[in-house]
Amino acid sequence: MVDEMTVNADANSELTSEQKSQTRKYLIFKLNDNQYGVPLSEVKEVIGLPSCTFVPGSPEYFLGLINLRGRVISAIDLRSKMGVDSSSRNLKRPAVIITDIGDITLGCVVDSISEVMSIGKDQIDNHLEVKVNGDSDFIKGIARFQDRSMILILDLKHAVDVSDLIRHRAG
Amino acid sequence: MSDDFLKEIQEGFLLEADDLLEQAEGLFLNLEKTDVDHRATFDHLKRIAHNFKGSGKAVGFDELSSFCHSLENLLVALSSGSIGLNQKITGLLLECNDVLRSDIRTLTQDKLAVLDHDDLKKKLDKALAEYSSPETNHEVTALPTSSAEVPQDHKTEKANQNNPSKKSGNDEFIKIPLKKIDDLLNTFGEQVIFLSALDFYKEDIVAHKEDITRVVFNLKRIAFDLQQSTLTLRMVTLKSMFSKLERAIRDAALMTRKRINTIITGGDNELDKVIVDQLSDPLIHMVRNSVDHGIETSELRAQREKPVIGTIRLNAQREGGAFVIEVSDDGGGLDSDRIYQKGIEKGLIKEGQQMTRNEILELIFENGFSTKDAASELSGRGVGMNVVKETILSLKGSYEISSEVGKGTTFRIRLPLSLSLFNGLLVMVKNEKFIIPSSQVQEIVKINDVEQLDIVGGNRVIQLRNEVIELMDISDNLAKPCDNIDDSNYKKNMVLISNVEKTKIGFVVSQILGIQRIVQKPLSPEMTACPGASGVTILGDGNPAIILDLRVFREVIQSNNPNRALAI
Repeated sequence: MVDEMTVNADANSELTSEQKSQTRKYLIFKLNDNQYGVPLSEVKEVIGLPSCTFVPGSPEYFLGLINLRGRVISAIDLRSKMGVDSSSRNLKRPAVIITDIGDITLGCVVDSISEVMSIGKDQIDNHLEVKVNGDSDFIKGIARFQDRSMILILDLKHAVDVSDLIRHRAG
Repeated sequence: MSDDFLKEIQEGFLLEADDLLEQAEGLFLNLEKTDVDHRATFDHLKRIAHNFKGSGKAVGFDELSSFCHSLENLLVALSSGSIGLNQKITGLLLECNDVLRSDIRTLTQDKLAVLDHDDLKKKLDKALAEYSSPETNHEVTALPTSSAEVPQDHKTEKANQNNPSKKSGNDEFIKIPLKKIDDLLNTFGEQVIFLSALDFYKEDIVAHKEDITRVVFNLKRIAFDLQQSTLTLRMVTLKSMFSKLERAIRDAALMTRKRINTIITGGDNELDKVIVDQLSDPLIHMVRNSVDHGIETSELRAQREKPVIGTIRLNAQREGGAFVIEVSDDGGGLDSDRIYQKGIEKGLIKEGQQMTRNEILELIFENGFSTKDAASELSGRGVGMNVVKETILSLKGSYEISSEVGKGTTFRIRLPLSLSLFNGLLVMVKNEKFIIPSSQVQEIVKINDVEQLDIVGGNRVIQLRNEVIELMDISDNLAKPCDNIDDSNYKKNMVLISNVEKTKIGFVVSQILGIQRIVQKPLSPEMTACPGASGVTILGDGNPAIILDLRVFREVIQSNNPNRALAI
């Protein structure tokens, strides 16, 4: 975590004023050892993972229902949803990223939250050639840093698409 | 005048207009009562018409205003006595009211809509000219024409009823008495005081242990009060629904040439607006049925030595945690032999099937049931009562019929006071908690205590007081797939006997944890994977729980396994 902070500081100091205007804030989180980022503007809030209520008949990636201050929302396991290898799951500090997808408020469960980071547009490579763990469909771009670390920029709306769950209810 | 401002005052007018027209309708109906002094009624009506005319003009609805002017002229003539009251006149007044109501709906949707009242205006003018001459004042030939006009009247009303159901979105308005809001604010105020006390005590929790306990106790009470008062904000009285029913009875009576007196009690009682809105159409079906099938013709009533004028009673009252609406008539009653025969004819039951009288009576709620051989304007298509049943069940309510041949029929509809708050059973299905509405459970038995547990056609059944009841294991369909609790515990399970359909079904759960007040929250569309889930709630421990609707659950399970034929 400390390393990343310094990376962040370095990256910022090199930005010219023109670049700064093209900078957006991202929430950085971890799945396995990979770092992912989502635009902060798409994040409503982040909470610790409360207990989940199992919903019969739901797919594996659907963790269940959680209580968000009196509202009941669905928790999606981002790992399982994106097909990220779950064998080395490290859930020491799991967190839920609350976001609105259309009319639906969803909670996306991630391994841990790292920080909020400003990333310039020019730091993000949108032309992906390498497939990463089978989750490339959801990846909008890769932000690369001088210390060779990188952050995968996630298309959250695409990643937690739940349209397969929405069907016409009988009655 | 800026467009926005105009729009705003127009909307205000339309909201108010709806209210005025509702009052007017009640007053018009009042005019049909004989032996009553109508002076006060006329004064009130004139005020409403004048108000309507004036405000309509002010917000730019000129056509509406000029139509009201014609209506006002007739009202003035009526109140001064220069025109005599008769059924044709009140019919015309009610027709005007219907047209105005539909105008208001049209304008609500499109404020620039063009209205046309030429035909009605002519009728109004004609009525003024025709009846003001004393010679024609006592003309009785008016009646046949008036009944010819009724069907048209009836259609406009129907069109009006269809409208509100279409736009039943969340942007609907509700009128709230100021007192309810004051009550709510008072309770909030109290809460703030207790919260600041807590703030003070938290400086030294140990020393203020008892004070804190007391404050927490009070806060709990306030939370309950707040919940109750907030719920009452959604409540409306049944007055307007009852006057709609009264009108439906009047129109139906005219069409069938029957004389009917409507007695309304308990219209002041309040019920959730959503329930009232959904009930209104089914209840109109019911009262039309009462007029058409229930009340006999005057001649027949005279023969049977009953009062010539039939009576339909509408009553509403609270009974414990439930709300009861009764529709009763003093007509001919339901003939169970005839219903049984019709049931066989329509293929609803088999010849020779053993049924209790009540079971036979309940056939009238089945889809496709009708005792009339030809559909009339009023009833006979065999769908009405089925709609009534479906609506009541979907509102988590129940119904009862009691009927005595020759004396009359009473329908009792029991409803929850509110849709979002009800009593629910907290049950365990293997390791998961679920809520089941108590209204759907008739009886709870332990499998162990049941005399017999059999397997018929691959399905478990129990025998309870000489009745064979099929079991449906909720955990078969809802438990986590990995759960593997062995079957030897099966006898420890509980069975919820439910009457959600004609045949009883026993739903098997692992354990019953208790009964509690449930605040229902809607299911978001992505949560609907669970069969039978009708909503969610948050339990005392803060965890969400799914509310299972047994009726839907059964339907889903059966449509998923068509082979699972009901043994009975």
